Amino acid sequence: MAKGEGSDDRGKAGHTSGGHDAGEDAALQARLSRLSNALEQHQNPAGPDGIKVPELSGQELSASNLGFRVLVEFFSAILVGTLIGWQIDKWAHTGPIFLIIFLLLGMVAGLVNIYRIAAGPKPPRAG
Amino acid sequence: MDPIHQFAVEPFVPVHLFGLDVSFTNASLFMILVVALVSIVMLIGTSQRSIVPGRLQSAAEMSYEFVASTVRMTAGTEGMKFFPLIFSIFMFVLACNLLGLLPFSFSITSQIVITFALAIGVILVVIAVGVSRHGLHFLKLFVPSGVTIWLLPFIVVIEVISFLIRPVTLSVRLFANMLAGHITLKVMAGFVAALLGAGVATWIVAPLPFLANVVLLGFELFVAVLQAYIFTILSCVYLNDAIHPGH
Repeated sequence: MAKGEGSDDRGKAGHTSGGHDAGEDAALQARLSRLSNALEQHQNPAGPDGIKVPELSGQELSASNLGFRVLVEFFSAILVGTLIGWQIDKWAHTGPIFLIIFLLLGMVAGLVNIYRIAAGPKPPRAG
Repeated sequence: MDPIHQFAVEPFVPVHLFGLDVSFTNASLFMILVVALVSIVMLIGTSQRSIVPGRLQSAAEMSYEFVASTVRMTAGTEGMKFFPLIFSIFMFVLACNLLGLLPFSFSITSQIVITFALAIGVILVVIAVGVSRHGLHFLKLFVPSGVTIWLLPFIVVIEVISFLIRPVTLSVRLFANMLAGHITLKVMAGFVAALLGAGVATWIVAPLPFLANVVLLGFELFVAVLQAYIFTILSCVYLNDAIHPGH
């Protein structure tokens, strides 16, 4: 409370020396607090700990960009799956078995990721 | 005329340490330039602190506000702890993309080594944060809720693979966009020279690829900013997974 009064006094002193009257100063203060309230509400629309879902689904980006995302997703899924299978095969000397299994698993994972892009982001759960 | 030549990494000062090639290359030079540019813009932009901001101050404040709102939107208020990391990544990638568009410059983000190093860094931070905050509960990330028990091993393998894919997609998306854009620009510019050299008859159509290049350059500016934004927002989404696992 004392702190608030102190800053108010200083503000008034500064403004009277500048040639303004106290009424204008109060109006300015009210406007400032209103603006900072609006800013806070704008920045935290869902409360202090709320999380908004990112808008990364297809509507926001252009169609070519969405297509490119899908391509990269599928391509790298197969690439990573193949690499994992290849390395397991090399380590365990098990011929091409794991290569084939992980190639297929990589395709599945890529398709799952593409499905996630198409389905849009899920609302995150607290936990 | 070779559209790939622009991506060649050329050593300026050859340095070999412990059998490793750590030469000072044109990539190193442009990375230093990018970091210096970002530092200068931010330092000068934040030094004035006037109520009515000038151009540099506006740029600094707008980039701060933009990244801060992105982090808050995707990773929540808790994610703001990682704001310095995310902001550095955003400014570095953005400046690399934009500086690479200047003629005779070297586009660093069209080297997959750079983008993959950035992406792996982000994923390592995600794993470190997830494990230090939740311990073994972080592994819940790989176990979606509401799956029948006999399907669970399969789903877990799929989830693990799609987690391992993340650094690859993150890096390949940025790298491939920049690479494709720069090659397209170079090929179009090559058309201008080829048509001018082919004879008087083709002089009439020679300006057409030039005009296309002007449009493409504008599009590349858009792509440069958009890819920096996508890299940033996906890093935030992955960090959100580390802060709140078990989606």
